[in-house]
Amino acid sequence: MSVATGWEFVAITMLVYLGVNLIACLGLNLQYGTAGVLNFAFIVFQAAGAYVAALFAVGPSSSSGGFQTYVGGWDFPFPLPWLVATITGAVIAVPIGLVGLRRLRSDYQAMVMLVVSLIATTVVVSFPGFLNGSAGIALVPPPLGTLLNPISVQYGWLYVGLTAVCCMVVFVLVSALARSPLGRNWRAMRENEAVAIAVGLDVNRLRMLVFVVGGAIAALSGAVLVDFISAWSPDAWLYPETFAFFTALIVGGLGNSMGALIGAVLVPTLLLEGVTLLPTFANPTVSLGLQWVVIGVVIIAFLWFRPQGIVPERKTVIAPPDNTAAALATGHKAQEAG
Amino acid sequence: MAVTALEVEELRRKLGGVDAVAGVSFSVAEGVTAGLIGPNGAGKSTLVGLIGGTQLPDAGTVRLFGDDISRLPAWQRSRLGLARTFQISGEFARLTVLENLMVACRDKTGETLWGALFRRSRWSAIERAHADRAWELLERFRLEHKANEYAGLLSGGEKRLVEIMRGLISRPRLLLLDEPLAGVNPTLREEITEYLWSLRRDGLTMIIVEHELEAVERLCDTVLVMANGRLVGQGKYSEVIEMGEVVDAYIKG
Repeated sequence: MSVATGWEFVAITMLVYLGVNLIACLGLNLQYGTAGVLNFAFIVFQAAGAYVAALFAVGPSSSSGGFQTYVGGWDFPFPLPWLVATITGAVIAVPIGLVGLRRLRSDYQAMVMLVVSLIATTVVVSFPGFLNGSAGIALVPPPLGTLLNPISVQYGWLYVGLTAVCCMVVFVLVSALARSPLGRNWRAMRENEAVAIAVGLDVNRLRMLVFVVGGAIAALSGAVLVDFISAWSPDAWLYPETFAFFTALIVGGLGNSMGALIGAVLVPTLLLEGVTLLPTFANPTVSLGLQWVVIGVVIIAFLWFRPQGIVPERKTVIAPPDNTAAALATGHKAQEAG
Repeated sequence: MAVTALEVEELRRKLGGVDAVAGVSFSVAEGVTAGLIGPNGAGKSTLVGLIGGTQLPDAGTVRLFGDDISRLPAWQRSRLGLARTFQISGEFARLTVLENLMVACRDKTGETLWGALFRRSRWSAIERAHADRAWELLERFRLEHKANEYAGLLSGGEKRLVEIMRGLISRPRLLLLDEPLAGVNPTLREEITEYLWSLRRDGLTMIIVEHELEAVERLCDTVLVMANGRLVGQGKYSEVIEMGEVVDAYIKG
């Protein structure tokens, strides 16, 4: 077996990052693009998924000679760590949602979420015994690493395949949700909350539901990422990362899965990760900082010149009834009776 | 004896230290169309909010067909058969006209996470029935050519129609209309009045807040007059029109 080098290494890395970003963008798009919930703590859910997937694969901290300390630590077989991570994302969405989403106007909800993001980073950094502090958790064993040599090209492509399966599952689920009556309720809530309530929608439930589903999806994206890079630390999930995903959605087009796909390719993958693979043209700190300058410029440019994004949300066109007689039978008579 | 559709008892609500609604009591029998008029600042909008549930009363009760709904959130009142329109058109701008109507239809299968994902065949049949009913309403209101347009692109008058249709599609027991003719051109105003009149003829119970006295005269069986947070008169249009408050607010200008 050959070791992954050169273009294949780049291709594998870019494809896995693309997959992770696509999963994340689909989750955030459901929350923001479809339901209008501004979750500025989105990255926290990705981080939670990554930490949990790591904890459920890495084994107890004594197993690595105790150079890193964390709570728990088990070596569950794949895909259990990913499953537990996904469920964790959904579960932590409940308390965060209860505190942040109920009884608050949407602009305040966004602020609470930003604060949640800052608190989460601070807590992890300040309590090194919890998740090994700012050093983060390393030496996460690659899933199915016993089947294939984890540094081989074949393993790289296997991982791309695993990522692709996750992407497809999430893509299908999210697209199906968006087209369902539930998806329409979410869009109605996004458009006009007061009227949504007046027509009988329980917006607290709707918001909580999209928060939980999006949280699970974000956590899955974190799990896929952490097992690929085998380490996870607070540097990977600082709050600006959330804005990279928001930029992706605004560039790609809100409220539809194709827009999320295009945004995921362009912004977090080509723009953010792609830049790190280019030969360094300046002081590394400068080129890393430039990423965020570019993100800022891109988001402003799109909001000014093409706020609907590259792929705008598609209109749901519903055909007229097949024949008027059927329509009269279901509609008119029932109305007369009512 | 006629069934009481809406019963309001000693309803009170303070807004910023002012008694916006200061002990209002009245009832509306099933099948009756009641008008609510009064000068600006009389408390009409607050009263509508208290009935619809967008505001909660400090004291007093609201009963819908006998059920005490005073403390229920607006969405639950809607599910009990109370539909309403808003003073400022409340459309879902980036939903099509059809979708605007269908949002008001309840479907327990397609609105749950599980049902939306895994019981598609079941909810798509229900969706078709809802869509057919929406089309039928659109035909009745002669707006079928706009069915698949974004509601945000409609004219002000058409948005009013969409709101009324959205209220009707859920087959409400009581329809609350907050200034349905405000900001509508005279032709469409005539048309909307015509539709409301046909709803009244069909026996729908309605409460209409309106400044257009001509429409109130045509549509309402009984008229409630509010001033300074209180109900100052109730009766047939011809009776209340003579009242000082009404003359001050509407006739003297």
